[in-house]
Amino acid sequence: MMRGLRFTRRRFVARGLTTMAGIWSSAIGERAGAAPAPIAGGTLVIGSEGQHQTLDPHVLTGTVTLHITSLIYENLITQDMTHPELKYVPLAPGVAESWTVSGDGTVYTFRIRSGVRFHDGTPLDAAAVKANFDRALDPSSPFYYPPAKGNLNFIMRWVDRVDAPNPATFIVRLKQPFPSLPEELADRRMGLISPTALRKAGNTDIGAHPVGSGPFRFGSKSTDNTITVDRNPAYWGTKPYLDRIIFRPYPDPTALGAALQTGEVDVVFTLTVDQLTTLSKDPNIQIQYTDLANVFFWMLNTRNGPTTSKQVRQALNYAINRRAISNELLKGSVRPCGGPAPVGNPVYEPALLPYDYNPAKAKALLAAAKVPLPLELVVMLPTSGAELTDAPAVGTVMQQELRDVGVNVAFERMEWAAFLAKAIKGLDDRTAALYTGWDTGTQDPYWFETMFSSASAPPNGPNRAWYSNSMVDQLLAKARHELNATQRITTYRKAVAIIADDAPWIFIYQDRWPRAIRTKVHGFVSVPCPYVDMTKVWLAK
Amino acid sequence: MYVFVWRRLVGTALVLLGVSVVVFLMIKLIPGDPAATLLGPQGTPEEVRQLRAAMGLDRPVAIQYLRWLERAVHGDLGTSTSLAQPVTSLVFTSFRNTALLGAASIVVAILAGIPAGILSATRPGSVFDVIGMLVALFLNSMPSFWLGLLLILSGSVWLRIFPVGGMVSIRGPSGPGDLLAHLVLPTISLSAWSVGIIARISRSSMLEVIGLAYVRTARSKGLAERLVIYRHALRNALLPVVTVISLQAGTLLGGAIVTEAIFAWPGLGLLMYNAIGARDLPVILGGILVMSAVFVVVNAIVDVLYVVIDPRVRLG
Repeated sequence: MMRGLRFTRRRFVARGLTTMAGIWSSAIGERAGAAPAPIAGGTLVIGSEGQHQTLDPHVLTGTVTLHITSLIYENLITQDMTHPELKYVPLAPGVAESWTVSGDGTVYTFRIRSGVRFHDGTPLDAAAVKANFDRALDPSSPFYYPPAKGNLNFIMRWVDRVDAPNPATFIVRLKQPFPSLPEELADRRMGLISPTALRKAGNTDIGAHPVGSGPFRFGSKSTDNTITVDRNPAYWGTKPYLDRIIFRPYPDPTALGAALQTGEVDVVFTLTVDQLTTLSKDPNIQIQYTDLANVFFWMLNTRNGPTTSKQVRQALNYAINRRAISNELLKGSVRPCGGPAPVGNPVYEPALLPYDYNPAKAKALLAAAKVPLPLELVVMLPTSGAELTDAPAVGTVMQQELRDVGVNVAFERMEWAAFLAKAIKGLDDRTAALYTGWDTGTQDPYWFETMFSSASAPPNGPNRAWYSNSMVDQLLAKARHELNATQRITTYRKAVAIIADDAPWIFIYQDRWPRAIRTKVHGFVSVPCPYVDMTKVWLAK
Repeated sequence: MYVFVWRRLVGTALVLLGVSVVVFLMIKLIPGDPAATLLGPQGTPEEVRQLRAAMGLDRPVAIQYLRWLERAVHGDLGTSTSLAQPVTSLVFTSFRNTALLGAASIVVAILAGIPAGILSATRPGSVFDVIGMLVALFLNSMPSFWLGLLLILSGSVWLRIFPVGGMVSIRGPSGPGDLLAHLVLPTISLSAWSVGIIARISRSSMLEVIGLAYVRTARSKGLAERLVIYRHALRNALLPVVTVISLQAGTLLGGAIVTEAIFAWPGLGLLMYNAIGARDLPVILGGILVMSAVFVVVNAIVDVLYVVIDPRVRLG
């Protein structure tokens, strides 16, 4: 009996211990599974891939410095970057708390938020907004600045005039209906500068003394061009968790990757393929893909030479193995894009990406086109330029794939500034193609008119392939004026289907835009946007 | 001495004028447009034309140069087209940073290269000599960008002793120690080539002097070897070494583009590299003028040093 009692007690203790262990591990598991609570404070260090330019948003083009100015300045309209479940980034009220559009689509009336001030205390009212627009619009304005006019022409070309009848009301009157205006107003180059600061510093020096209304204010710029922005305690919106963000420039990508590995920086916004391969193995670093709609392609000369033939252009598209380029050469940092409408553009649907790797079809099309083989093509290839560092490697692979179907490509390799100076004039008679990419506004349907309308040919626009199709022109113009959103997309899709069939480009890939973040950094939401809502970012201890 | 200084000043002014004309024309001739580069691929020819007009680039080249020269004579080197900042402050701040890195590199190169060359020359054919000259040859052959990345991998990523890049102010919160930490790796990278060449030139020059009759005489008189080498032979062996050091100093103080880019050192070389890519003519001109002036000044100092080392040499 005693023996049975001892056995029972031992079993009772064992079972009790087991139960307690179970309760304990369950509690730990629950704690580990729960989202950690944000911690206020701390300094985030971001490694910039190149030098920082002026902090004047109206004259900037590259995202390297726009990452900084997007924290200091605010726009009338902003982007809601908190919905990773969507394949696009919806617009949200910024400094304008609401807006209305007239029935004919030419008058936008913005209600300016009350009580918002710039970092220097100047009220951000309609007059201040008008001063910013006048900088690029009105030569008689004391704020007028020709470099701003040139850089902001993408939006100002549509504007007839702007008015500020009272502090709370800002009116934009357009020359014609332009439903893409809200999207364009969310462009980070449209950040609002304090007119007081502009008067004080002047147009050329405002970049060294930036004053906006954003959640962060300019702190300092140090000897090595490191720029610091500090939390704005008087911000009208959601206040950031972070005390400070430091942007440190590293011209060399290998050094930048090393800085992330050592913890000298916490975030790198864009990665090269080599960096991606190295950093993805580091357990202290996580890789996020934002899946932007940026696209990369060869513009084909539709006005001169063998590429005037649609069959030849289609053949060139079928000759390219986009999957191999994306997955093997570029290690998954991009995705194939065999058509004009990238994922992330509202017009996108799978049928609009018709081109896949089919060398047999390429050869058949070349035969049907009755062009003498081997076909000789000259292609302009940039050897540098933002986001085009992979161009030489991709170009070499494409050269081989085209040779396999009887097309010989000779590259005219050019440094970026020389490439741009030649490219903006359009493809000349002896050049069959040029390799380039596009990021600005590729998520906006209006982008198709910018790139494919015959009115956008040089000197008026970037349709450097000289592509011209009257049906496409009509559809694009109709879509531009269409105020019904659903009908607008339908009309754009009809136009894009024709563009896909005409193949004025070799469509290659779109960027997945990988970025690297140390694991102590929280709050980075992966949405199709190069920018981050830094008010949501915090650092674990 | 006054005649020497006056002649050098006039010569310097003429050199700088000539350099400015040549560089101005070269930048105008090479492909690329600052306005197009500023606007990027989204720019249209019409927008580029408007921006060029706003920047004064549509004027005749001669007028553009004369306007620049008129301002430059008054100390105004214009405004950077890519950075929208005054060129004068950009260039002189960058030069100060390059001068720090360059001076540190020259000091390291002299302190390492000359003793190595002398020791090799006084022990010809020995293990030290063979290994020393092999190392010197290796340092001369190694590309600076490769050495720089290797230093970052070893010193920063593996050993975690030194920062990867950047520069801090000596008056900053982290103090001069942090500046020194940032200076170590780029100095090693930049001085490596100079260490190699100075060691090799020192060795060959020393060997030549040691073989002269007066050195044999000194030895036969029973003088200690240390006195023979350091008091009698070294001074004569230094002249060619001084020439090499002056050339190296001019180059290093003018900005080392690759080293500055890899280590994100905000010097003149990096500034020029970015300016050339952006076709930022005001910065390019300002930077090259500073580099040219540095070369001229360094050469003038070296000319004076020749007189100090060898009294037979006269200035002028």
